[in-house]
Amino acid sequence: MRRLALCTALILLGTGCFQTRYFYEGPKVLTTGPALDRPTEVVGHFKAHDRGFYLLYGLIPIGEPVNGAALAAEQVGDHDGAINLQFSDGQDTVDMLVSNLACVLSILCGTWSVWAEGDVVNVVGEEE
Amino acid sequence: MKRVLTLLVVLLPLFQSGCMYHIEHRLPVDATFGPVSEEFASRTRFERSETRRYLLGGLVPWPSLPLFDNDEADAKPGREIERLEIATQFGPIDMLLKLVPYASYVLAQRSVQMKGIFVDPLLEESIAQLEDDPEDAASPEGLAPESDPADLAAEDANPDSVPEPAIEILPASLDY
Repeated sequence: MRRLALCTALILLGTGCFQTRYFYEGPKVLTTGPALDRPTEVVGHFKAHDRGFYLLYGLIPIGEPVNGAALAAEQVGDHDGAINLQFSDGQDTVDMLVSNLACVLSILCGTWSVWAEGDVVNVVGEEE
Repeated sequence: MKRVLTLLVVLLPLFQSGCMYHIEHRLPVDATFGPVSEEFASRTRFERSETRRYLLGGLVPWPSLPLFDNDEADAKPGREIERLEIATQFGPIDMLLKLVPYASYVLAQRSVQMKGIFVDPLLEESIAQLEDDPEDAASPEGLAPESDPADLAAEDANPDSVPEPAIEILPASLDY
């Protein structure tokens, strides 16, 4: 009975466990496309990784929520935007060892990773 | 038995890509995060959700179709996506599978929700009509009146007040 109650509580609370997001509201232009609507020059390529730490089956994120789009925007820095963006998330070997062994099958805590890859660009001309 | 399972959990990721519950977000070309463009266009809100399934406790992804179908309605000429938002998480059913002893070693799943705005170029006649109509011309930043980004932001704040899309209605969730 106690187990059933615990399961029910966890399920109800569990919506959003180990949540990762891809969301950005800043001024940089982040696109999956190969170009912007203005002439641009590629100034670099990036492949970034971020890891989020969570408590109680991923229910409570500690620190900034993991956000792939914000991670890409961070890589853009002072430049104008990023193109050819690709995102993925999951648990790599480190996450898996931390979550399943150190954190006892994710019950106590766990980590989750987000990866972002793309090209940083600067706008060099007017809109086409 | 427990030792074997623990070894399996530790070793399998090393032989695989070293990743559990891996989701590669295959997004359509011209999906944009961040600022909304200020051009004449028809804008339609969309929201989709999907379940990604895995075998062996999230190690082996079960093949699934992408959230966007590049061959059909999603591939309209000139169509772009603005203000894309994606969230991946364990939903209630996903959690239930994780909590049933050993069930997740057989089948595990994770939910993906995606929302944004489809932006389709307007026909030339529609643009001309908007430019000729003084009321429409006075609309903020030259946007089509029904698709002002400020209105869309207000709708985000109060989802109950979202009006029916004037141009096109897309399925809230695709069947896979």
